[in-house]
Amino acid sequence: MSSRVLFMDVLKRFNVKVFGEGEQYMLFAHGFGCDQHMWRYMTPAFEKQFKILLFDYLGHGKSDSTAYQPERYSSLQGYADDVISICKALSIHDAIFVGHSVSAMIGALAANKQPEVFDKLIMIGPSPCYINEHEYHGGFSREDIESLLNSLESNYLGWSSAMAPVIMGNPDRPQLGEELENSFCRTNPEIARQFAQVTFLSDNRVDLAKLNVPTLVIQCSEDVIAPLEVGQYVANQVQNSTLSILEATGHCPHLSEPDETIAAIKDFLIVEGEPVG
Amino acid sequence: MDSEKYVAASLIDERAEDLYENAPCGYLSTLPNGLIIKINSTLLSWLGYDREEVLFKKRLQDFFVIGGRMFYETHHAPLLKMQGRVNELNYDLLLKAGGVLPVLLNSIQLKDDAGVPQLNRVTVFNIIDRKKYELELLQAKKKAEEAAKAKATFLSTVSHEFRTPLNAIIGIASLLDKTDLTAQQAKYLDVLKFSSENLLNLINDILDFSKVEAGKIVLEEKYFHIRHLLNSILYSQQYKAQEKGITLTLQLDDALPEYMYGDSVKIGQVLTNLLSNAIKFTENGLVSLQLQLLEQEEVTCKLLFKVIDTGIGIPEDQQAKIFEEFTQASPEINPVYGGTGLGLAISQRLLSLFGSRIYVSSQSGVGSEFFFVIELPVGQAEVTQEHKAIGSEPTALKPLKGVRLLLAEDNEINVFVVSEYLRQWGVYFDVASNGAQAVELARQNTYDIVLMDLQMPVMDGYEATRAIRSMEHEQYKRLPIIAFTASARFDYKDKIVAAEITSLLTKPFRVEELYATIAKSVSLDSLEQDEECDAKAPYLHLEEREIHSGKAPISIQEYIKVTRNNRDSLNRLLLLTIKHFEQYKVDFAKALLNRDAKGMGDLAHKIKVTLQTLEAVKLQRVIASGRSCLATADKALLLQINNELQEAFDCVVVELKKHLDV
Repeated sequence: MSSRVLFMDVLKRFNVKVFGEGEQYMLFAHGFGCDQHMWRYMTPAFEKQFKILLFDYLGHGKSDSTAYQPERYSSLQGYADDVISICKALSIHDAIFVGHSVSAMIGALAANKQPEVFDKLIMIGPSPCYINEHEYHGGFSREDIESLLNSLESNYLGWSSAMAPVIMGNPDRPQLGEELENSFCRTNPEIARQFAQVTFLSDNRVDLAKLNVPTLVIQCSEDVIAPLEVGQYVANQVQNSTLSILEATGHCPHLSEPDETIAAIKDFLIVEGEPVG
Repeated sequence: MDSEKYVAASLIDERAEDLYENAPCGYLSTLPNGLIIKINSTLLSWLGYDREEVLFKKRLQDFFVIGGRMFYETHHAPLLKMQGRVNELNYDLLLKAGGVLPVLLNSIQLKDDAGVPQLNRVTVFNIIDRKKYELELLQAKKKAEEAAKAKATFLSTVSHEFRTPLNAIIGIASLLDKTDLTAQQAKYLDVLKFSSENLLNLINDILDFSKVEAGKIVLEEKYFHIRHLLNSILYSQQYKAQEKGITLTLQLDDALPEYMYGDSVKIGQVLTNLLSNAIKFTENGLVSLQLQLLEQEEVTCKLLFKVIDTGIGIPEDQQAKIFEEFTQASPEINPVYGGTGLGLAISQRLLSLFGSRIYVSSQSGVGSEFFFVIELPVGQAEVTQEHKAIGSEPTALKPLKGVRLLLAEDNEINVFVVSEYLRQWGVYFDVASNGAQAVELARQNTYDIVLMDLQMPVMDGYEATRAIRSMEHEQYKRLPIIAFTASARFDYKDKIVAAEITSLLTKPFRVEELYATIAKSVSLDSLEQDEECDAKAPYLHLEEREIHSGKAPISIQEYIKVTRNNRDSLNRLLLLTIKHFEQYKVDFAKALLNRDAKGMGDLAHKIKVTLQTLEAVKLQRVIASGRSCLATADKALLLQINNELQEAFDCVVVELKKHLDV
């Protein structure tokens, strides 16, 4: 396989989009349940200074679901390896990586494996371990995760509009699929199920201590998925980290309070010496 | 809180109050963070709460079970923000009295002029009855899907099981053909060969079909020489046509471009299928393959492929049916002509990948014409080397004498078959019976090529290849590693690329394929005619191989395997082996002390498979060293080797006896 083919292949497989006027790359990695659309309120604030890179994990958005192999993605490392392969295909190094939710951990794993690719990490609503264990409070029990999988099943595979194209297929009327609800966060149900399992049952606490790059931890003041104490835990474990607690509530401050989130990121970048306008 | 109340008040519409309160569905309005600021009586009565317990006190999320809350945060809220509405999401609402109510939620988000979200308006549908039906349908669907999956797995497992013994049958039949046979034996052998090849074709058809069914086939495009392709296809059918006394002709348009870009393998598959059908159904006359250039644009051209015969023809009412799977034109066909009725169905599906289809025009008793049109980009010569090999006889290829080869394969029968050929071709080779051994041998010795079975114990072929590739010297990056597998699984391609395997041979392979693959992969200049090596053949590096195996003199694992854990059979096999070995001990001593090279060779050959099966490496080594120094060693050394030989035999026999169950 020539490198050119490899390059095109990777870009297509992960639906990679690159734009912006800067030299340095800024990668935005979506979290569980969504796709690259979720960065739409954030990127305009950074595209003047950085080269923005958006992508979809396999099974999400417009990625190539057929490339999905369950064994490869049985741990978050498989996703981290994908991030590294995107970086390799585009010769990206010293980039800023912004990861929401589970992508924060994926970014950490990628940075640990291939330190030269990332210069800084920005974690939005990270959690290294969702399950409560002894002294550690992740916020959930194993039964809670089962409950999430049930909820996913009834929404992806039940009669919800989110799943309509799965049952009906509509091969004769593809335009119907386009008009269907929730086209922003189209996910493949089988893949989403495994992603949910891998996401919520992973324990990446030991990987945080190995992290060496300057890291910003963005924590919402109230978040069911990643409670305050988890954000504090992450900031404690990562040696070179800054914790920023937002007034925003919920798990997606970059959607609900984009301005506040942008400000937190810019503050961090300025302190870290980036020329942010 | 005041501002929230103000917003809430402004929303209330007195005239619609009754309609709102007593609607057949639940209504509620929340602030963007989910806090409930308005709710109707219907929903309150479903939930079992009083209004004041809810308003400004509870958020919508508070009514969700934990999984629903996570779904809300990760899916519902982001979608609502991005699209302004989200419909028919499934939740279980917690009731005050305990238990849950299954509902569907529709939400819309109301924004102010600046686009800032102000309110979420939610409609709640009670789906308690619907949920029951839904569950049943869902379970039925799951069951059906699982059944289909199980069927596909079964098919691929079974075909794998078929292919391995078939590989041995075809291989042995070819070997047998090279020995002296009586006329009657030769006739039987012909039938055996014909039937086993036929069986192979059927299995391949079924496999192809299941692959197409599973949507696992994609076009693999490259540049190819169109004339060469058609010539080689015709060539492959020539033998059958000659046998039936049919004339086979090829007509190519003079205006054809030389190279095209596309999946030549699949085009070839379709044409081969059409041609072999035509030959099958034609008793006399001719079969013709024609290729016509319909249109040539700047970068693409449109090609018309035709296969014409003067055979039995197909009645008009049967013509559509022949493209259906498992269908032949009439029930009389199968008993006379055989086949699965899959060939045309597969061809049709393959062509659909090209956006094309096969058409037929036929007259009963006169003949048939099958044709299709495909449009392909015009290519340029890029990889010509490969095409030269196609269609040329193995004998025309360069000789393999002196090639140093490592065969990594755990199946004794396959090792036996492949070794026979390698020996005939004068290839020097070592055998590794698992991946770990292969890696070790590759580390110690220099090989021109590795044949690697993918499924092996201890370490499989993928891992072994990766291990070899990661070795320090540049040579390991370039070493051709040819994988072979009997697996009919569809997902191995990616793994092969990932493991940096050079190419793949699917079992059962024909001798010619094996020859061509080795010949193609090995560069001529690396072939040296080293006679010294020859003396030690077939084992190249047996002595080194040994030093690293500090293990028991024998292993009876294979014996246990072949006797399927049957104690009695195992005992019989062990006793038989002991008896044979006592005899071998005497025979070897005689041959060795008489310096009888041929006798030693024959004995070594006879005992080889058993020794490999038992992993009796020490004994193997002693025999090999006995053979190598037979001519040169002085009497004292011969005696010493004989002592070693006798000891090694005794040691193996003692070990075998230990396993006897008396």
